[in-house]
Amino acid sequence: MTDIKVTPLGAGQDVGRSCILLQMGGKNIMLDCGMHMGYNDERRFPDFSYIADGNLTESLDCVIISHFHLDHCGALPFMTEMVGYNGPIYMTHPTKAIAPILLEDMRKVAVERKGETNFFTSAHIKDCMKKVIAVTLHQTVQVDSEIEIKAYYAGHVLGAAMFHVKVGNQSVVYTGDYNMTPDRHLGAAWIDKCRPNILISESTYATTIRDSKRCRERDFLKKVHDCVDRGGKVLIPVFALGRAQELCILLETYWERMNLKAPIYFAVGLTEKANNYYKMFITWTNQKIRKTFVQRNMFEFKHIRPFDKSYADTPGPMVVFATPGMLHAGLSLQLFKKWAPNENNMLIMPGYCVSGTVGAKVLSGAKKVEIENRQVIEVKMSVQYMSFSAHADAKGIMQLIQYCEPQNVLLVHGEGVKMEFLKQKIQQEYGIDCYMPANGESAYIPCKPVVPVDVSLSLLKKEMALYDTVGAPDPKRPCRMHGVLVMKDNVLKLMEPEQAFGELGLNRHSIRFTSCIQLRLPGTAIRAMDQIQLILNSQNTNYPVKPSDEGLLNLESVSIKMETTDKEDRKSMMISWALQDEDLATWIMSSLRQVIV
Amino acid sequence: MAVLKKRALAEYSQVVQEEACSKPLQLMKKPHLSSAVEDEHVTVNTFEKLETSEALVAYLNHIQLNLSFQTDDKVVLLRKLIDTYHHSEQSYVRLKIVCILGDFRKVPKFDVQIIINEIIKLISTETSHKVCASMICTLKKLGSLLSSDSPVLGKIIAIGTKLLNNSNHLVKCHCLSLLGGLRSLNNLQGENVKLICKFTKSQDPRVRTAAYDALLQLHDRGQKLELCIYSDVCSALQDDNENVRQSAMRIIWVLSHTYPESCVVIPGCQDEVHLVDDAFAKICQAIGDLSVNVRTLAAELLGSMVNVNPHFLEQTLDKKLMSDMRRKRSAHERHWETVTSGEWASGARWADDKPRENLDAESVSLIHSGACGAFVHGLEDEFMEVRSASLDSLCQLALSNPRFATLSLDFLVDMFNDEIEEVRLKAIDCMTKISQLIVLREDQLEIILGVLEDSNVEIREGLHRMLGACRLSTKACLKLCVQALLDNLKRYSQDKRSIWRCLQLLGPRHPDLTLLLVPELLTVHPFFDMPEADVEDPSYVCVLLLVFNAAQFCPQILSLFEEHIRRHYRYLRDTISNFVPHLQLTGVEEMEGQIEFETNTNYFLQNVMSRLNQPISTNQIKVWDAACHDLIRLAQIDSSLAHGVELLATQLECHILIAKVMNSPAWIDSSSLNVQDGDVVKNLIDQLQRRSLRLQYMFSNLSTEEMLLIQSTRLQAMAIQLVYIVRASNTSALALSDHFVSRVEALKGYGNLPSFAGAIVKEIARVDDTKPGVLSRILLPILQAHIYVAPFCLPAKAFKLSADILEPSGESDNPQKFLAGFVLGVVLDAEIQGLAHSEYLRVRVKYPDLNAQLIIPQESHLKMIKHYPKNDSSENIISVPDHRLRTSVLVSHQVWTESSHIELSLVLDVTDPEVPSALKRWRGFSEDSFIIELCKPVRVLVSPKPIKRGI
Repeated sequence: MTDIKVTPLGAGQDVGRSCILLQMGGKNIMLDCGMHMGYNDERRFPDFSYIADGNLTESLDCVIISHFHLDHCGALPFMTEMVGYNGPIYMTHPTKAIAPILLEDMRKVAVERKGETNFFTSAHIKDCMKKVIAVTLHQTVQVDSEIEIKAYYAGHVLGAAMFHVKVGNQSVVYTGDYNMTPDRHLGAAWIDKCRPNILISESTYATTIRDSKRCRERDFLKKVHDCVDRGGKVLIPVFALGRAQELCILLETYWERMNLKAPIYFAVGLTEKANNYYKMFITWTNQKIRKTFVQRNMFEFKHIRPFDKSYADTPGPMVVFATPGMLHAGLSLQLFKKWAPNENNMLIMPGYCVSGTVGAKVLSGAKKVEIENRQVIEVKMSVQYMSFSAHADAKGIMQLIQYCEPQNVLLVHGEGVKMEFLKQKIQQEYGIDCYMPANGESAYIPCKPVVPVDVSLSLLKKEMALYDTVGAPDPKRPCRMHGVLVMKDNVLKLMEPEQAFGELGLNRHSIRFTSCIQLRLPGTAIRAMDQIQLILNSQNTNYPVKPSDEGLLNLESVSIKMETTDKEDRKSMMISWALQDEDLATWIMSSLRQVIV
Repeated sequence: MAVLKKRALAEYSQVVQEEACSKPLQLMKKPHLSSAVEDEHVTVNTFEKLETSEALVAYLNHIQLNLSFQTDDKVVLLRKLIDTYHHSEQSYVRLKIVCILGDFRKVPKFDVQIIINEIIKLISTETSHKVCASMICTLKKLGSLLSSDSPVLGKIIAIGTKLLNNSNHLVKCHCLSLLGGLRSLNNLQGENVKLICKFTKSQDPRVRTAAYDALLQLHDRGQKLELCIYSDVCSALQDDNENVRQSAMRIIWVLSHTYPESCVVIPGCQDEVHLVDDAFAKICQAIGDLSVNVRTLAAELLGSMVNVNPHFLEQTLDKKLMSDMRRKRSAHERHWETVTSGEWASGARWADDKPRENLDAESVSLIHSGACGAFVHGLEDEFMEVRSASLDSLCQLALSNPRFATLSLDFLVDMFNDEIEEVRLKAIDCMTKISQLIVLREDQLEIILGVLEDSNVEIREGLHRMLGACRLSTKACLKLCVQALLDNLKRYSQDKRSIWRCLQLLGPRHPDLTLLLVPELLTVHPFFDMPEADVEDPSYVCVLLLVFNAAQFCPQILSLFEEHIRRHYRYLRDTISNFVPHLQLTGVEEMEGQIEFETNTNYFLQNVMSRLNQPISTNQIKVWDAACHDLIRLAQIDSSLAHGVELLATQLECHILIAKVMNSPAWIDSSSLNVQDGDVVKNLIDQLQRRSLRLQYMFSNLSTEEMLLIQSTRLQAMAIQLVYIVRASNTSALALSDHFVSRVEALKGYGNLPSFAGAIVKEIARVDDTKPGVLSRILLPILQAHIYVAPFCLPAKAFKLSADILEPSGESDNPQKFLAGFVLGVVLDAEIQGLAHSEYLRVRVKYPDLNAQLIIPQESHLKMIKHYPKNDSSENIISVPDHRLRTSVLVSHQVWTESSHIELSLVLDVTDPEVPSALKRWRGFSEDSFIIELCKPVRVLVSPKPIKRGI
């Protein structure tokens, strides 16, 4: 029962289609629900039939979505509306705002362009989003009486979050995608020392340590600036959201600083809508944008204007951001066709290109590119590759592990071979277990059972005061606590004895032991007592022996009494002690025996 | 539609349910506190009258505020307070009383030991933790006043040690701070350090922090911390609480400075490293901490660890890059390789950062790599506090390690591209600082020069300063640099002066490189005469400045000059002489005369001085007058002596005025003479005031004697004014005499006062009463005895405050229009030299209707410009910093029919220090007598337009 079971339905030793099932403390939680962009058949969605015959509402307690990228939320409408799930779904506010835009765009491409059927509809997306509960950073949300979730900032894209899921005493952190180095519009991921049982981390760049970002930025800016200075046109194909905004901010501030006049255009479309959300969620951005927000919202671009198709033939320098990012269709391809033959122009690819696309061909250095309908284009424009990626590198992942100090790490969202290396490193440097299950494979992570006990506050305070009065804190000195362990309604409680007896309606009994030793000591009883006190005090310093008024020696609960017998030099010593001081009494007796008897 | 419906539902379906008010409101009259509290003469008996504790606290507050003024017997008050303490049940009343007891230390001549003993008595019975903590805090404050061998101190410390066992964290923290701050340095010290060390293991993070802070306090007070705590403190760097981590890091830093050479064994292997290196690595690791504050502190501390092993230092800039398990070179390294191989990076190839050799998976350590890449991370941090602290540290370390400086160059250049301007500016400043140690390569220079296009003036001017201080490697570099500066000038013409200065510094640093470029720069052709360039063209002037300044150190350049360049030299030498050095041009006859002339001025000055210091003659005023004229003329002629001579002249003027006033019969007695004479005297005194104020505030960089001389003159002027007001007018001089006395008091501490000031100080010390009448009776004979006494000497290093308004230039004929009643911002750009009292600086705006406004410039707009040594010989650095004021002056006025000039000028407003507050409203001073002008006003044409109504 104490094992935590993690089963990736997607993203297990694989990138794309993130969907992880988490079972702990008798609860089932789904982390992310993404689709695979590479497939067009049912393989693009996670295999929901794996979960309890497809009856999702009953078998899942909640679904958590980390951010709006489609490989993390793309299958959500399919799951809720077509497979059927009515339970709670959690995501952050920006994610809830932007995800439907992306889903809708994808649906259009799939249904209207590719003519697919049996795909979810706009209404499905809307209905799905109605089931979503939005959460704020660092807000603790109680899903039911046992599950508790909390979101942490993850960088990566606007609204990306890591989630700390807690069931009973067990907890798991799921990172989603995150970035440990800040960029132009977002800060770095941050988490506190929450010490979860498992950290489920992405590992896209498991084997890479990246160079400083500033170099790349400077290169990028310089190249754009040079091209614009010689009157050329710069084409930057981008995916609509995320990196595009970062590059916009970068160029915008540079234009401002350098007082440049050449126009920058942004192809209209879903970006416009998304930009509105970027303007709204300023609190999710980095220090600079948050600070300048009072004077000006950085996303209200001064130099960047919407693009109109007629601008493509306007003479003079310009910079254009156009979708899609891999130059395989749409506006970016059209502009590429127009501008490629001029050597003054420039193409900057800010991201990765799937092989086979025009983008990949151009990047690999092809001077003549064939596009649809057998048209051949001569590429004379200069082609640049600039990597602006927002995943944590190996050092970043290690840093996150250091931050939150998990007991186990589980790697997802990366290639298996690379994970192997990182796994080894984690085990070596932190000495903790690391797992990397493949899709459909379950990892059972054993957890030490923890038995929580409630301690009454008054008892705790009393014992602490006692501990404090003894002397300076010393980590080696044991701190004992005296109380009564009460088990009631399946809950353990540690209470003060009086309180416990009061609640149980019992009278308190205490056991005292008394023992009598015959000693050979000359002199009166009082002198003998003094002698014993001296002996005891010389042997221990922690517990001073105090004589009481009735002629007794007291030491904690131990009391010693001396009686004279018939014989002159024989005395009988009575020692009486309560149960808890058994050890002490034994020690006194043995030490007295050694010295006197 | 859906939205509308939702909203409608949301707004109208709310049911507001008011809770039934269970308690009826009651009108209550509050007990009137003020009767007792506001009474001026509270007596200690008031305590009995106060019934509620609120009233008591209010009354206690009153006592606390007036503690040092109250005339009652302090001992009685103390008794009363302690009685009240015993009777009060509320802990906040007791807390207040403890506070007041602490304030008794400010009462002059009160024995703090009495209070300490009282508190020690009280503390044993106190139950409230807060009061207890406050008592400890008070004991610490009081104890710090005792001498270190006092027996009471021992008692205090015993109390502190005893209460360490208290269960409350606040009490513990204060006790620790007491032990840390109050230790008499005796043999018990070691024991206490051990005790405090034990508390670094406390379970309460607040106590842990307090314990570490106490150790730091001990260190600050000279106690050497022991090495054995090092390993414990290191483990505290992993503490959960960020404050503990911060304090622990400070201790590690302290230890690394105390025992840099001792050896530490690295856990896991047998190697030993120096403690300073180990500490450095530990602090470097903290740059990856969870908390911003810790990161910032780590970045700050790194800078001062200059004696760390260079090997470790260089690691901080190295972040072993890898890609797919293969070693990858950083962009910087790649760049360097292309430069050295003579091939330029095309940057066009995809994956040209292709990783090379394969890495052994075992050998790559991702986290525990010590100092590895600390600065790389620090400079990339999310928060500007960390980034800017890292920059500072980087710069500091680079200054002490030239090799590291060269390595850090690329990173500094990268920071020119930071998103926050302050950081960019700081990066440029850092670069300027280390520019002595590095030589710029062409590719680096190219990146740096790109920043010249920045639209921010500060950045550009910072860069100009940096370029002026750096060293370039090749001729091509210099050419690139000049070209970029000329482009910059074309783009932003307002940078003219800054660029000129840059080139003026650039020339002497690279005379040989300049020599190679001269023909190209001046378009000299071996066979053809090229057209003569226009000497008024700023960019041509730029080139000339570079060449002329380089020619100082490279005589070969001189031979390349053609006739028209010689002509231009003479012209520029005349117009902008501070940018053009003196050159030994054959055929220009100025040369010989120059040296002759200089000796003349010195000779002349000595002549004047000897005349001044001759015994006093009957027509002394005339002698002074003549000398004053001579000095003023001299100051205009010889700039090297100008500041000191001007100071002397001003001083002389003051004394001439003093003598004139004293010699006129009207100045003590207005009744006997006609009005005209009275006016003359009044006028003279007014002038004297202005002169003496100028004397006091316009000069800086003086020796103590020179300063005292000036003070004495000023005192004389004030004395004359005081006596005049007492004797010859019927206005009250009470405030004025108080002010005078306070001025005299301020001089008391100095020995060796000038004769006048000395006499006054002596006399004032003798009398108790400082009523104006008495004062003037004392002053009059002293004044009369010192009419002609003024030992003059030339303050050679004196520096005169002057300002130069660069913008607006006052030449524009286009009026600036704005809506009447609204505000117009006029850009003001000024350079100020020798500003010692920046708090008195004002911008004065004079409107044509003679209204004048004084505007306090924003503190952030006034910037100090740091001077870096011009040449390697650092003789001619002026120790007084330059200031640059760049602000927008807000102008507003009602409608004018046509445009008209307003006058902007910079002034010092010394009303605050010079006019006692009681006299602020007195009309005896004319309004502008305490305003010192720093420069000629600049005229700006403005025209407020009427508001058009009904658009």
